[in-house]
Amino acid sequence: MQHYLISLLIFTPLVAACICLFLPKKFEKAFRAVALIVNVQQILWLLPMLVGFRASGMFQFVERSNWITLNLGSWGVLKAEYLVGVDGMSLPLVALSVFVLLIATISSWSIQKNVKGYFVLLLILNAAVIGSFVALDFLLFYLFFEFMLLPMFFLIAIWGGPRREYASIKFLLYTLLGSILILVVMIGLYTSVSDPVASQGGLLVHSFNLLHMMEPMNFISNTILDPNNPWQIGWFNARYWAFLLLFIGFAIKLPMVPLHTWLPDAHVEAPTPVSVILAAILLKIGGYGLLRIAYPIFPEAAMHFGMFVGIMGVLSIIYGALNAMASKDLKRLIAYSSVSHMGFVLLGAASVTEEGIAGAVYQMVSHGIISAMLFLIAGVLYDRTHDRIIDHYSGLSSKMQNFTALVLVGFFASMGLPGFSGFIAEVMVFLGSFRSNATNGVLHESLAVIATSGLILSAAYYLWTLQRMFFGPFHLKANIESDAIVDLTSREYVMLVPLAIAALCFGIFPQPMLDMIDPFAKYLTALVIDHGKAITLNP
Amino acid sequence: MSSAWLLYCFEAIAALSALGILFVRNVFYGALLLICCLLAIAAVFVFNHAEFVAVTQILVYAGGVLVLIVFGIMLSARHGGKPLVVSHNYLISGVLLSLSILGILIYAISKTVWPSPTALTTQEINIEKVGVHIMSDYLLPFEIAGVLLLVALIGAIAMASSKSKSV
Amino acid sequence: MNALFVICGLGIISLIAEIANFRKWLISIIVLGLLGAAALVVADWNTAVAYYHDMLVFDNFSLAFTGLIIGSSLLWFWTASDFFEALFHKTDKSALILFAIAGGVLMTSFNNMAMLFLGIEILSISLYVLAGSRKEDLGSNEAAFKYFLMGSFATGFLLFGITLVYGATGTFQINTIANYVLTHAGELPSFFYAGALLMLIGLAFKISAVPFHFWAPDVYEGSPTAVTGFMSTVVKIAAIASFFKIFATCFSTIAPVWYTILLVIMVLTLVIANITAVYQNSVKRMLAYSSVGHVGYILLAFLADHKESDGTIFFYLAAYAVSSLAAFGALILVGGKEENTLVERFNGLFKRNPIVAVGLTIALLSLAGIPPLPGFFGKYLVFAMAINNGMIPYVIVAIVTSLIGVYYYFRVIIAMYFKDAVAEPLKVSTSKEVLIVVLILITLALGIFPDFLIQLL
Repeated sequence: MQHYLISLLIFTPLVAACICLFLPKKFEKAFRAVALIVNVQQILWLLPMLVGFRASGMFQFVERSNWITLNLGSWGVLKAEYLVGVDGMSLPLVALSVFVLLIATISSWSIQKNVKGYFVLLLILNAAVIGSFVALDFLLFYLFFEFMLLPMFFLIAIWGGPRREYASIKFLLYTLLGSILILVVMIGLYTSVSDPVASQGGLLVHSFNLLHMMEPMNFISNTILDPNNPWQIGWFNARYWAFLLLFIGFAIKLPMVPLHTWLPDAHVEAPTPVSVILAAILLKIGGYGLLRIAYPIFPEAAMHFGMFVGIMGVLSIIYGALNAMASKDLKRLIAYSSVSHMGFVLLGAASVTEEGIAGAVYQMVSHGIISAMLFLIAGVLYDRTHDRIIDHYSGLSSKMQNFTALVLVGFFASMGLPGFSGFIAEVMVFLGSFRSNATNGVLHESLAVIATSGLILSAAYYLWTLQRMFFGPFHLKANIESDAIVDLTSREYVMLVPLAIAALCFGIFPQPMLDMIDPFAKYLTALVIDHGKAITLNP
Repeated sequence: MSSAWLLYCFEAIAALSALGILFVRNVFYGALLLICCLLAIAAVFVFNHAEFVAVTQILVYAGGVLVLIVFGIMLSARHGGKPLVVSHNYLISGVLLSLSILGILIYAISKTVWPSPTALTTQEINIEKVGVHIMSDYLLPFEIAGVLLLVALIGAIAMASSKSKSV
Repeated sequence: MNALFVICGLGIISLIAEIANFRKWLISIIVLGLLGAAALVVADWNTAVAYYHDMLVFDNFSLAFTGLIIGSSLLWFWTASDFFEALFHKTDKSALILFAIAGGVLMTSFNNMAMLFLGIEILSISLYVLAGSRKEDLGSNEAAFKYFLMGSFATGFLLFGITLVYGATGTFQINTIANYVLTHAGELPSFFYAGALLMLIGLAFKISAVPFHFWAPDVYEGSPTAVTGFMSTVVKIAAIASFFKIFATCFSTIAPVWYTILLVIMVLTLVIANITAVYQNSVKRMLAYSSVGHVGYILLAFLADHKESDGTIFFYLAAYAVSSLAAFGALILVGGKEENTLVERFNGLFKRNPIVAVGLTIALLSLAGIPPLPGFFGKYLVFAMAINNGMIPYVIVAIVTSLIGVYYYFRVIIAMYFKDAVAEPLKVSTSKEVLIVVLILITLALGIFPDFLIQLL
């Protein structure tokens, strides 16, 4: 039973989506119930995985079966497998996804328009998200990765706000561009990598297996990405190009300044639950892809471009924070704060130190929890007044005490105050980026110093927002009915309180999750540094 | 010797009538000149021991296609009361294009090494052989050509017939 | 071979149907007959047999493409069933379609240039007539006439090419020509090369590669939508199969002569077709340009490795055919009687009829090459093949053009989901709804398990 847990996680929502397709449209309650049952069931399947997971750098709960095997004559065999498994990076992210998806489903209760279509798309998105976190075959990963795009596109496009058309197309074109860059690298890797087990007796089996791609021995000599003899294209060799393409592809998803402009628009237009999923889960795929694919497969390029990646990370931190400060719309502010916080993921990854990488993964999980909470907070306000302009509110604390308390928790957590999960993650990233110069010389210490100013900026915009919106005399502008301002409903408590508790728990007791992440961080650091050196030694 | 003379005569007729088509403006005269040209070419085929091709040429082109053209001209000329006249647009580009094609052809012909003519004249090509080939080696193409004609026939009927029914 | 007999026989049966008065059963008989023909293709699998003095060879290549043609025809009959109810005689139309299918089968299985020529002619003449079957419509007349003129012109080129090749080699048999070329390398007369190039031009007309494509958009737009669907699937499959067969066998050893020309044609096809498609207001015309564009990807695979690309091309065509059939099926339903296929017509389609909208969406996404739909795997295999053969600049061009493709396909999708509906709900018969579901399932199956189809060749 334990062996099929991952498949169950992926395929339950798909099966449920198929069932929903055949239910008549008017059973609105049924769709909600099905989605909720799926989410609860996923949590039940997740629990044995969390319990049974052994902290080590290895993949666990691995499932493997043949999927596509193509004999292509003189140019070998194309082999793609259904290969899934979790390790110390993916399991926390899978757990995060399942948790956030449950909350997003609850939050979707307020959706009134075309309920059937909405929940079918949500379930498909669910499967695609889980699938991309567990896939260990590049083709499988790409399939799930790309397939997240479409449900997301339609969710924004159909259930979005007034400028949904513009926002959804922008989202689509940006992420599609990213995935095409990734596709190019995937084709290159596929032509260059052979399966060491299956390729015997003169038979050449091209593999999509990510684990095979991480091993420089498996590259076929004189192919485009062969580490011993990569092709030279323009300024860099093909491997450097491949790393850059992957980096840009995932950085769009992350999103990294200056490729972030789709994010604020998409967030502002998307309905609350979709925003939650977008911020809490989809952005993580970018960071996950960097650490799962770009870094281990192209370690020498990762070391070579480390400083560049770090600078881009710091730029995202500062630029995102400055933009957040200038935002007039609450949701846009939160969106920019996401850009800023995801910059820490880049910085942590760039450092190639244990602390940095563990911090990056921790930051992904922590930001997933906190941003979900923040977008729900924006949604609470929007549901009541259909207005998110910060200046239109003042002194909300007098009317919505409990809401204000939860907002304080959310804002403080996002600021990175000690005691919240964001603090742990950011401190680890700082440590990593400081130590990087001493251990592997990738990053300069000054980057860490500049990045700390991001913390100060985030404190500034959150506190300013608190002061403007929640404190002071109660006052509303621009035709907002003051009757609409009421405190939280029970459904909103159900969504917000668990998230607040999670943010606190991971801030006060970081050890269980760090134990899970640490072996992975050790393994990846060692792999990138060792292979990076080995590859640069024999050019 | 006299047969060679006759051959040159027919070639000249073919070339002249082809040229004539270019210069007459009445389409009907053009069609007549085309018949003349095609018949002369059929005669050239005869002199080259290609009797079957000659007969086909007369049957298909002179007999079939051209009769159709002449009919078409007669039917369409009925409307205006005046004879159908062609106009010469694009004169310069037309001349340039044909001259360049002529140049290419002359160049290609002069470059090509042709098989020696003696090897061919010994080979007697007759209609009987063609018939045997059609009924043995080329049976399938022959049958399929039948399908082709059937398709053309259905098509013609479909196009011509139910104009009133289709409303 | 037997499949060919069955198809021709069905053509004749449908002619008799008019006289013997069993018109009502005709479509059922045809569908059953085509299913039988498909079964015969399966039965002949792995038995390469030459028929009638090597006129036709049914090897696995021919059988696979024949199967694809028959399969797409079956689905086409389902999508286009309304077409047979309207306009002129049902029996004439079905006979013409069946003979066109027979012509297509000849084009995949010929082993002799004469058969190729006859196959192309049978296919084309049927289509000239079908293109003009909306007699009151000026566009349809224009389409028929343009198609006829351009088609005859192309046939002229092809015929002249065949003649020159015959003159140089003394045979029509393509394998004999291939042998002759191999053994007489360096001493071939220059008119042999001229013949090969003329055949290239003639066939480029038939597969509608740029710059020999200019007839395609007008013809596609003017013809009845059902006929356009037939042209862009069955006809395209047959044309590409014959192109592949000629150039991968006869002229494979003189590849340096045509390689550069075909490379230019390929790049032009990709760039011009995809860019022009962006500016179209009619979805039908947009699909016409996109179908020209897809030829570019097929040519890319062919140029990457003209010997080994048959499996890739086959899969690409199968994926393309299924998606196109779904797209044209939806187009027929949305266009209605007046066959209005402007983009505005699709406004709010999701509200008017969600099933049609979802079907069309999946078809367009597959054409755009979004995973996990089969169009993605087709493109993936093509690109992988090209990169493997060092054609990186061309792959970059192809990737850029497929991004452009995403843009114009999404224009329709946007219209369906964002714009407000212009008309009342679209009523669709149950059979059509089932068809759309079937097409979606085939599309998904091809996309998730592509290997069983590519493995055929």
